[in-house]
Amino acid sequence: MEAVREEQRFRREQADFDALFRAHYPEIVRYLTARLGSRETAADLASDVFVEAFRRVPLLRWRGKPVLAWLYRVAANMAADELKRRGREVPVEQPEPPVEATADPTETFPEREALAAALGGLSADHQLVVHLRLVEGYSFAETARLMGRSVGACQMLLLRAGRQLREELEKEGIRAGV
Amino acid sequence: MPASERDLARALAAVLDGAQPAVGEAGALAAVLSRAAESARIDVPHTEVESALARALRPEPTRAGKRRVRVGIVLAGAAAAAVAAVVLVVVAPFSRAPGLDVAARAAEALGPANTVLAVTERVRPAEEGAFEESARIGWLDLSEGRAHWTLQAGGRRVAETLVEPAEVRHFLPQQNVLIEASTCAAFAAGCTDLVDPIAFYREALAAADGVAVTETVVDGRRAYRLVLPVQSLPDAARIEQVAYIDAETYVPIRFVWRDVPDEGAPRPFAIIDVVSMRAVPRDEVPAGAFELDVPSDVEVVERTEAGEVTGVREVTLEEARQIEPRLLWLGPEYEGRPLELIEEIELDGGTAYRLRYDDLTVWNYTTAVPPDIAARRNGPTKIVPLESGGVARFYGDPGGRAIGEVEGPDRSAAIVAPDLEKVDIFRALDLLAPLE
Repeated sequence: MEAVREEQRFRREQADFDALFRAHYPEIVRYLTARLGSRETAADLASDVFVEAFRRVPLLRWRGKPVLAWLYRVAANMAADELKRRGREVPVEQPEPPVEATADPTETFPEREALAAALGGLSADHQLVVHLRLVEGYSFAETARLMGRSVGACQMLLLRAGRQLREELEKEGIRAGV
Repeated sequence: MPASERDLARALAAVLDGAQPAVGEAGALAAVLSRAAESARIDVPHTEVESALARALRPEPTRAGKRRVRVGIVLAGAAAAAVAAVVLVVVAPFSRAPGLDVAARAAEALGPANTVLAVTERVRPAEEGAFEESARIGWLDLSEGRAHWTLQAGGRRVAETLVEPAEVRHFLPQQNVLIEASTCAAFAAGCTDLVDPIAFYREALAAADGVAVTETVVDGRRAYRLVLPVQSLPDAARIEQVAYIDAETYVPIRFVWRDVPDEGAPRPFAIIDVVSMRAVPRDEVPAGAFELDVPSDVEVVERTEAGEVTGVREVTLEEARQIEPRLLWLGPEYEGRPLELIEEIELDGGTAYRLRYDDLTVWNYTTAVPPDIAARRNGPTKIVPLESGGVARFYGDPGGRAIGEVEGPDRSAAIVAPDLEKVDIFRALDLLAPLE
């Protein structure tokens, strides 16, 4: 019965692009912001994701996964391309840091920035599981469906993501986990 | 993975679900994760959503669109540069000595054996209307066993193939499907995509034996005509290639593929005009030359190598109608050949179906290619677009029979008909329809 309802929802989202957009655009922007570290680029790329969706979603076939899983897959691929592209770019100018700007070892980034940076440093899978389960609040079962993995695998991913985050934050002098 | 890791992952999940108090390491990690998640919980205002929606409904050229044409742009650039490059080819003195001398100069004009070639070809039917004209743009790195081809027809990309030593990938844009395998043996046509007319031409020139050379004129240019047998074993050769090379530069300008029947004269099937050919030094090959460029939402189909046949059973037409994905067939009769038998063939790597129409056989398969239609490894493949979308591949089986194949996300099909010529097999491929 649940599967039938899921398929009906899939069909509705296929047929109503506006509703699909309104329902999921904000979370795709949030996901891409965490991955790319730029709110502006994230909004730009999220638009690209939905332009693709406008063309492709009506042609998708029901395979037991919600349209949202497709949106996240496309967003993840586009983010990976964007990061790859950035990696290939050589800055035109690389100004020397002024001597006075040498970091004070006692100074730390504001905690929120450090948290965002640590999140951005996670692998794509770790970022996605944190995003789905904790940022968007999907259950582990829903997270597993969206990621195309088992619940157990998602729990393990989250454990590893948590450890890595703690390690990164501790490097920034933030005592994490308290 | 130690059991304690799994337990800890479950405990963390329980803390996050509120089913367990936040104590110990699970509690500490839950706190870290929750704080990090809080930093990512940014607001996306309703007004921003609405304006983004309005933009999405009247899309402009997007980043996604740009990335899909990247290879095309790179290759088009290479093609344009090729005109200039051709004049750089060493111009050998004109020689009337036929045979080996011409073959040797032609081989020399292609550059050293480890040269990477950037090639643009126009493929057209010898018999008007037999198939749609297409352009084949690609990179060949034969010494490294790599090839990358993009086939365009009617202004659109209809197929793209990347062959590397450990991976073969076919992208079918019409179906938005990427078929991947770790070995050539997983594909019916094997790695014969590597054997482009130019690649085969080079190989034949290296062998040099039995290359018949005559002088002729092509489009007002003085040229040599070389007839290259497909196989060194004359009794197995069913398809041969005629190469026309410029008499001044020794660069190939045209290839003609011909069916060679057991009796009678060869029948031309496809004409391949070499629009440009450029030998590119290895360190100047563009980064994307051997990369496949596919849309982000492409459906990936994994192919496995076919193993042995483990069982064969007859299937009634009624049973065949129930098979999912639908079988592809030619109807209850094809040009006077009634459908006589449908068989289900169990293979180590999957299930295939064989539909027998007198002397014509239609094969259906999904994950594994039946050994009967696996290609011989050194034969050539001709790829031509179908009117119904997608492409057809033609290659020869180990017995020298011509086979036509169409690939799809749910089903791939091949037609084997020893008494039909490629033109006729091509027409039959275009008529394949789901058995419902």
